[in-house]
Amino acid sequence: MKFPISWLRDYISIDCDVDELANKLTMAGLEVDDISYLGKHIAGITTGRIDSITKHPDADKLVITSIFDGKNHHQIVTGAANISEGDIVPVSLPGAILANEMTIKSTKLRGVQSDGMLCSETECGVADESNGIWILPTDTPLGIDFVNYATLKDAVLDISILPNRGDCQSILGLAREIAAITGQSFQLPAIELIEMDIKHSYSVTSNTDLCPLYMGRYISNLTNGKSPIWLERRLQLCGIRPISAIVDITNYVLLETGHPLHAFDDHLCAKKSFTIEEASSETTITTLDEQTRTLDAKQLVIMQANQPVAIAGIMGGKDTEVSDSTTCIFLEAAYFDSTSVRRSATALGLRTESSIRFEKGVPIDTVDYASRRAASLLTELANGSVSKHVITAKNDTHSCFKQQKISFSLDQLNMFLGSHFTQKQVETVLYPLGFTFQKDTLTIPSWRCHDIKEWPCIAEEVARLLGFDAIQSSLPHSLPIQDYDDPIVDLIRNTQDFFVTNGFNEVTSYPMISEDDLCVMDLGVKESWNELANPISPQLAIMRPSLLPSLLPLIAYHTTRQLPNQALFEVGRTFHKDYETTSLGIALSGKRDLSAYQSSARDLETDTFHYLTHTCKRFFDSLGLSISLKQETEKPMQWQHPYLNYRIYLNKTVIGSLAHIHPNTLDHYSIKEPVIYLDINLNHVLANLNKPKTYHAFSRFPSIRRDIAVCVPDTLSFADIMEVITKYQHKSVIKTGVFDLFESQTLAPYQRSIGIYFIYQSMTETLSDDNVNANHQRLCDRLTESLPIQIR
Amino acid sequence: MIDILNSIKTDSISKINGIDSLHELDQLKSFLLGKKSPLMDVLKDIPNIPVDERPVVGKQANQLKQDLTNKINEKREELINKERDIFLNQDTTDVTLPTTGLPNGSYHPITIVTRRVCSILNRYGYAIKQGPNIETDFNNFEALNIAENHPARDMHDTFYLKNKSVLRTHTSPVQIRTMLTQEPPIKMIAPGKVYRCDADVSHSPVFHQVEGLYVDKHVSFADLKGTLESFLRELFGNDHDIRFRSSYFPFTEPSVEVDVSYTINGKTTWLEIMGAGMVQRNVFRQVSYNPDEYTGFAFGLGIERIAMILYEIDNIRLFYENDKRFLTQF
Repeated sequence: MKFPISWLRDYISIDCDVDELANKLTMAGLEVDDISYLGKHIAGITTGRIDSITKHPDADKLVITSIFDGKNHHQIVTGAANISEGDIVPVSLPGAILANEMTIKSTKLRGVQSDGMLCSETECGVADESNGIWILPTDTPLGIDFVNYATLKDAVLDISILPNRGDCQSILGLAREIAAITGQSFQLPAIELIEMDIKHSYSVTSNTDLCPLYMGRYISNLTNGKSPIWLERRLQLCGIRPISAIVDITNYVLLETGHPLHAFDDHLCAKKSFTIEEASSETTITTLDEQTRTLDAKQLVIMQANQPVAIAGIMGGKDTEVSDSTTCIFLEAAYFDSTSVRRSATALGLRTESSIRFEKGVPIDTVDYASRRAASLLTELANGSVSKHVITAKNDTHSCFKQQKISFSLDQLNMFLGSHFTQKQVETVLYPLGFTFQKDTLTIPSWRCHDIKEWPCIAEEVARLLGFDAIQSSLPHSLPIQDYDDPIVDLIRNTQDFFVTNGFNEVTSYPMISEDDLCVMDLGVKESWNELANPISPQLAIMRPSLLPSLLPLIAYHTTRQLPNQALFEVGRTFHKDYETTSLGIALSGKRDLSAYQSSARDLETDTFHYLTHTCKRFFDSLGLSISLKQETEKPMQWQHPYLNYRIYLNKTVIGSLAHIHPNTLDHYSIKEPVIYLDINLNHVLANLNKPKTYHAFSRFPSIRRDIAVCVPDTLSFADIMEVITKYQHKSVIKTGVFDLFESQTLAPYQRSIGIYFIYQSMTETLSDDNVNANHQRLCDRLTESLPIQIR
Repeated sequence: MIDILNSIKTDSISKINGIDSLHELDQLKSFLLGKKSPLMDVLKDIPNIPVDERPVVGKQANQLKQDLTNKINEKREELINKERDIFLNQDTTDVTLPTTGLPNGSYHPITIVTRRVCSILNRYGYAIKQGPNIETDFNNFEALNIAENHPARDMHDTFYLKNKSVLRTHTSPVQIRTMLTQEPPIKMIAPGKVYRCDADVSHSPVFHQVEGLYVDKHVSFADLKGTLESFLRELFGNDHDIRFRSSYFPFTEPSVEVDVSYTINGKTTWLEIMGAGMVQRNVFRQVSYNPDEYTGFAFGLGIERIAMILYEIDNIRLFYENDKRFLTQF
């Protein structure tokens, strides 16, 4: 909300500079977002009456005016076309400074002496654009200090009011707050209201607890013209457009007191009986903004006979709107339940100056005050006659009429804050805020009832106003608490460490993906999707069940920016029906060792699939786990290459997969290079990590190595060979591996030669050659018997 | 005899000096010190010389044997070094060729900053807890004293799921989960992703927070102040001022924003770093803690914000674009 300093000064004296005040307010919880200084340089503008307008002898577009400032006449040449003799206008005489910092000097315009300038609203700094000279009301005094008169120079604070401080959504509320902060005394505006015995036939009934107080004043004989300049300017400074005196005054009182009011045009109110009730379903109303709105049941409306005339606390109806010709009004001032207004405003998608105040709660006793304040201004500024017959609907038993009290203990407050405040210090900040003490009981002012419920709220008031600096810092001196980190935290850390150490780049992506992503990859049925009800875009509409749709676009991003060769990983949440898991996803594209230039090293680089498989195994090794890999040719995932894939097993659970991405999926992301993707469900890994590590004895006896070279058809996989080896190899084989792979047409067609080594070692003795040879030969025989292979 | 020994010595030393290969040296060694060498002949002949000369000759002969052995060993070492030098000098490998090998990996800056924050607080005794990103309305709002029509819901632009769950708007629901499963005292932090549907230049729909909670008997606001001051000094260094500014959160009272003074381009400003406060009594009631028995404080901070300050990053979107040219800088 915007707060002009000049307006605040009506109720409180401010003796520090504006920056200092803003800082104090900010520290006390009223955060000043911005201070705008208006008319920083403006000076010397006065008012004058145009006594005569004559043609310029040498210029068609200029005229010569004679301006009377109440004492002297000045000859001023102007190009303005909107002036007439008798108009009162702002005048800047030589020496005056305009809003744009231009200093006025006497000059000759096409040979004619001109001693000043007639000003537009732009030149006075009150509008960004203007059409001609600012014509002032005819009762504007001549020769006055117009800068002050029209508030051309001011500082305006823009403060974001926190949800609990509805009481500060008004000039008076903030003035009271400033009083408590600066120690200055605060003055409510005095109301002198003359009420007359004017008869009318209005009646009001409230049919709901949501409106415990409704007051209506009948005001007649109004002249609804333009408001005086000072009032228009105050509205403008607060960002509200002046309309007409009646509307402006209700807005003025809203800004001043924080209490929304509404004026109904008496002549448009066919029936004079109002009821406040919850709308029956299918009620429609056309509001002031000319929108026809359908209300749902429970929304509070003001009904006149059976017609809704206003949405309570939000906006009035078009049918009874005040216009320029309005002479009589029914002025509503009421208390509407904050939750009800908020629910209603949210349902309608309609936030108004009125609703934002009711939502945060208004004090019950401002209802009458605001009504009387507006009535007195309507008398003073729009000639109104106020009837003394005030219509009131009041539910005296409603809790909002009860004074709120809480018990207070200084010791408790000091213990809670860790402070050493004295009773006197506490009182100096609480009294100006309107609190009163009766021994150990504090009475809460009506305007803070929505916010102050328990004693910590008082602690907050004291701390924020005496300053948090006044509380000496301390450190908790309790013993350390025995508690544990969530075990996944450690696993996530180890995972990140391992892959970063091994040259992978960690990414962090949005966990939301599009329906397209899901369909292209066939990642689960629609029933299992976690769809957002209000996504910000269709691209971010569903919580991902896999990291793959997060990583593939990043591969595409880089390849289109001449950054091939990606090794990206993310450890992140994936979302499934009714549960979440933490997953590792790795996407690999292009080469790993970009710097390899020797042919032997380059060759190794071509085999990134096996490289990633190896890295994956090493990762599990580092965790003390051993995985098994199974190629899935029967039912690969839709996004997987039908053959170049593995399922990763830990014990008998599938914990992830490693695969080339299917070209169809790559096409969807416009990726041309092959991509290998590894995913691991870390929650499954965690479930297997509970075994404590123990030492295993190792053999200190020498080992013996035996190699074989086998010729195999390329349809036979190494896994098939290993299966036989694992089944038949002697228990003294401690390690088996491949030392050579050779594919050439010089072998038989579609054959490859694989060199396999075996390490024999015993836990209990030094093995003899004879012993090993016998065992090894048996294995070789088994291999050639079981498989279509030859040992070379 | 002495004369013979002297001539053997002179002759042997000149022979050793003349050798320039290990093979010749081995041959020479057996010639000079072997069973049939002149020196051995002298030693064998000792019983035949007069008794009074024996000790002198014997001593000198043995000394000569020792000297020659040493001399040969010295020569051997000299020759080995010489041969090795020749071998090493023949190696023409160009060490100045470009290096090869895997590139370095990189941590995402969010990870680095989260770890830094958590490791400080971990050391203060706060255990790291985790919670789901898809939360119940109760854990995210209701239990934190934000009822359905509370104006504070305006502070949270919430993503809802079609089944009425919410994407957590803050990490505070992990507080609730922890308090619902554990009894005080509690000291916990919860790092993680949070979601708000208000994306613009300075906001991202997804960002990261770390939440902290300490509940015990007699926890005071002064303790909160002391804890956060130590924490922020560790995070940013000792040369920054810290201020506590009144604010509002429905789940704490009093509530504060914590600002840290920072100098950017020579201009010192206050940067909003954390939100904090004393746990609201209604929150304790929601988790069945007795608010008259326990007090506590809670705090939260945005990881992106800290990372942006520490690394002078000017656009929050860089974190989620994941451009390698960005990622590899940390």
